[in-house]
Amino acid sequence: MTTQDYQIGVGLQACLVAVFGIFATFMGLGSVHEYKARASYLEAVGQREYGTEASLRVLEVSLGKALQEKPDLAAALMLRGWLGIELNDPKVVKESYQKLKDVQQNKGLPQGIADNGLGCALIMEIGTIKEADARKKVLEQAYQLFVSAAKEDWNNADPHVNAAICKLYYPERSALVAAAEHLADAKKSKNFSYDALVSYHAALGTLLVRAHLDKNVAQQVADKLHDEDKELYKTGRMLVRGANELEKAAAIARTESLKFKLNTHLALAQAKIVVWAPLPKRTLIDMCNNIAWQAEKNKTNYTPQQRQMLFSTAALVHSRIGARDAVAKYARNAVSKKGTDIGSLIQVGAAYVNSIQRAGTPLERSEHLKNGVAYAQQLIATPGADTATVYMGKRILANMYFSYGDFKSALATLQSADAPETIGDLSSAEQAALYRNIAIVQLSGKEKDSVGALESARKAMAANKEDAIAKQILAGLAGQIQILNIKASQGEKLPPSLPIISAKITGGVEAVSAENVAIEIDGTAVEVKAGNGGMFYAVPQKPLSEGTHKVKITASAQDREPATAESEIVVKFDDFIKAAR
Amino acid sequence: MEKIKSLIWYATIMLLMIGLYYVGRTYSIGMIEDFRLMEPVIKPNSMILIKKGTSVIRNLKRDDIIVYWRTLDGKTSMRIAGRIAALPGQIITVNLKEKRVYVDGVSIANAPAGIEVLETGIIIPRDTAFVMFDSPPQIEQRVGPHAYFVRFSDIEGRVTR
Repeated sequence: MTTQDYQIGVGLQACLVAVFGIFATFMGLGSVHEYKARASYLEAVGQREYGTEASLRVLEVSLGKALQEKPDLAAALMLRGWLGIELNDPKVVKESYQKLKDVQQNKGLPQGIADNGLGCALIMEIGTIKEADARKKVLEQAYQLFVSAAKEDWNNADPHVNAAICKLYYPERSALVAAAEHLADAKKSKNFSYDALVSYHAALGTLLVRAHLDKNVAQQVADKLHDEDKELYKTGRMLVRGANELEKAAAIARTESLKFKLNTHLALAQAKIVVWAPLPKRTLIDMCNNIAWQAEKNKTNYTPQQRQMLFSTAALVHSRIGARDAVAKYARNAVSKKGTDIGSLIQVGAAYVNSIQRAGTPLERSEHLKNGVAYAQQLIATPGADTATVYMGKRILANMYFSYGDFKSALATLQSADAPETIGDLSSAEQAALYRNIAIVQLSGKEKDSVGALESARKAMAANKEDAIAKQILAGLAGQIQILNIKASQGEKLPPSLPIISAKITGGVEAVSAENVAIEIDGTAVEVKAGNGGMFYAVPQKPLSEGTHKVKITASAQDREPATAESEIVVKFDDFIKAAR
Repeated sequence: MEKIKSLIWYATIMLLMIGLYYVGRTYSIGMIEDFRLMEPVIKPNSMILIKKGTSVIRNLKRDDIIVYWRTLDGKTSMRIAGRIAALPGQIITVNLKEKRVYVDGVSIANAPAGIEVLETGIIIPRDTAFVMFDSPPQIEQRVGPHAYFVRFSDIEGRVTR
C-alpha cells in the first residue's frame, strides 16, 4: 500500500466518522425533547404521590412541560386525564383522552384506556346537563364507551367499575341489577388500579344502600354479586354492608377531597342504620359523631333536607344515650326558618321524648321537658309555618307532655289540633292517628274518660277503618256483649204463669239499650224493659203453662258483635197455691 | 511485555469499575427511620443492605422485607421497612373475632389496629403490595388502611442480609 492509498483510506474513515457523528448529533438532539418530556413526566408522577392540592398544581405544570416537548406522549396524556378527574374538570379529561385515542389509533394500538377516559369525561359532564332527555343520552353514550373498553380488555376491572357507576346514575331500580353484574365482573378479574379499587368499593356501597329499599331488587342484586355473605339479600344486612363498603372506600382513598366526598355518602347511610340497628354503644357514638361532624362541616355536598335529616338523627341517637346538651344543639341545627323536613321534625320530637323518658332525676326530666316544649312552641309559632308543620309541632308537644306524665296538657294540646283549619288538611291516616292519640291520652292517668275515649276511637275508625290501634281501643272499650244470669222469678202481683224473665247484659263502657235487646219465650217476642246496672226484664204476653219453657235473648250494640243466649225456665204452680193458702 | 501488562491493568480496572457500577446499581445501604416497626429483625437507625431493581420488585414474594419511601403531610419523605403480606390480585380479609389477617383464606398474622374496616375483604390492586410490620405500630403511629398499601414505584428494594 502506498502512502497515497493510506491517506485516501484515512480520509474515507474520517468522513465516515464525521457522517456518523452528524447522524448521532441529530439523533441526540431529537431525543433531547424525549428526554425532557420524560423528565417532566416523572416529576409529575412524583407529585401525584403526595396527593395534596398544592402537589396537583405542580403536577399540572410539569405535565404541561412534558406535553409541550412531546405532545403525543401517551403516559402524560393519561396522567393529564387523571388530573382532570381529580380537579373535576371534564374539559381537560375529554381533551386528554380524545388526544390519546387519536394517538393510539394512529399507532394501531388498543383504545380501551382512551374510551374509558372519554366515558369518565361524559359522566362528569352530566352534572351540568339539566334536561332529562339530554342527560339520558349522554349517560347512554358513556355507558357504551365503558362497555367497549371492557370488551377490549375483559381482565381489566377499571372499565367494569365505570360501567357499574354509569348504571347507578340511571333512575330505574332495574339498573341496579345491571350495576351489580358489572361489579361482579370487576371482582372476578382481580385486576384493579388503585383508583378503580376505591371506586369499586364506593360503587358497591352506593349500590347496596340503594338496593336495600326494595326487597325484590335486593334479592336480585345479591344473586348477581355472588358474595361470600349468603344472607346479603336481607335488606337490613345489605344496608349495613353498604355502609361498610363506603367506609372502606373512604379509608383507602388517597386524597383528602375524595375521602371527604365518600364520608358524606357514608354519613347518609349511617343515619339510616343508627335509627333502627341494635348497635353497641361505642359504635353508635362513633357513627353518630361522624354523622354530626359531616352535617356541620359539609354545607355544599348535602341538600338542606339531608343536613336536617343528619342533625335530627344525631339528636335522636344522642337522646338514647342521655346526652342532653347534644340533643338541644342538634335539634336547633335541624330546624330551619326556610322550612324543615317533616321527617326531621318527627325525629327531633322523638329525641326530646326519649330524653324525658330516660332522664334519671325529676330535675333532668323537667329540664328536658322545658327544652322540648320551647322547641315545639317555637315550631308552632314559626311565622308562615304551614299547617303540616304546626300540626307536627302540636303532636310533638303532646308527646312530650304525655312522656312527662302531664296528661291534661297533652290532651289539651291534641284537642287544639282538632280544629277545622288543621284537620281538613290532614290525610285520613293522620286524622285517625290524631283521634287515636286523643283516645289513648283520655284513657291514661288517674282520671280516665272512657266515654270520651270511645267517642275519639270511633272518630279514628271513621277517618281510617284500617287503623289497627284505633280498632283495638274500640274493641277494648266497647267490649264484648255478654248475657248473664237468665232466670225467671215471680212478681208480687203476678200469677206464676206470668214469670218475670230477667238477665244481666254487659258490654264495655257504653251500656246496651233496651231497643237493642230482644227476648223470645217459646219463639214469641216479648216487650223488654231496661233496669239499673245492666238488668233487663220481660213478662210473657200470655200466661205460660206449667213446665219448661225456652227463653232466647239477643242483644246488639254499635261497634260490637251481637250476642245470643238461650236458657230454659221452669214454671210451677205448686208454690203459688202453697203461698195462697 | 510491558504493553501486555498495561493492557491487563487497564482491563482489570475496567472490570472493577463495571463491577462497582453493577453493585452500585443493584445494591444500596440505607438507614431505617426511628420506628420500631420491624423489631427485632431490623432495629431502628440501623444500616441495612437493600437489593434494588425492577426485576427485584417484580419478583417480590410474601414475607420479603422491603424498604419503601412514605411521604407524610405532602412534605417529608421517610424510609420505612415492612414485610410483604399480599401482592396484586390477592384478597386480604380481617377476622375481627380472632384479630387475625387472612390472605386468600390463609391466616398470616395478627391484625393491627386500624384495619378493621377490611373485615369483608379487599383485593390488592396492581402494582401495589400490602405491607405489615413485625411489631404493631404504637398508638401515635396508628394509621388507616391506606398506609399499608405500598406502590411498587415507592419501593426502593428488598432487604438482604
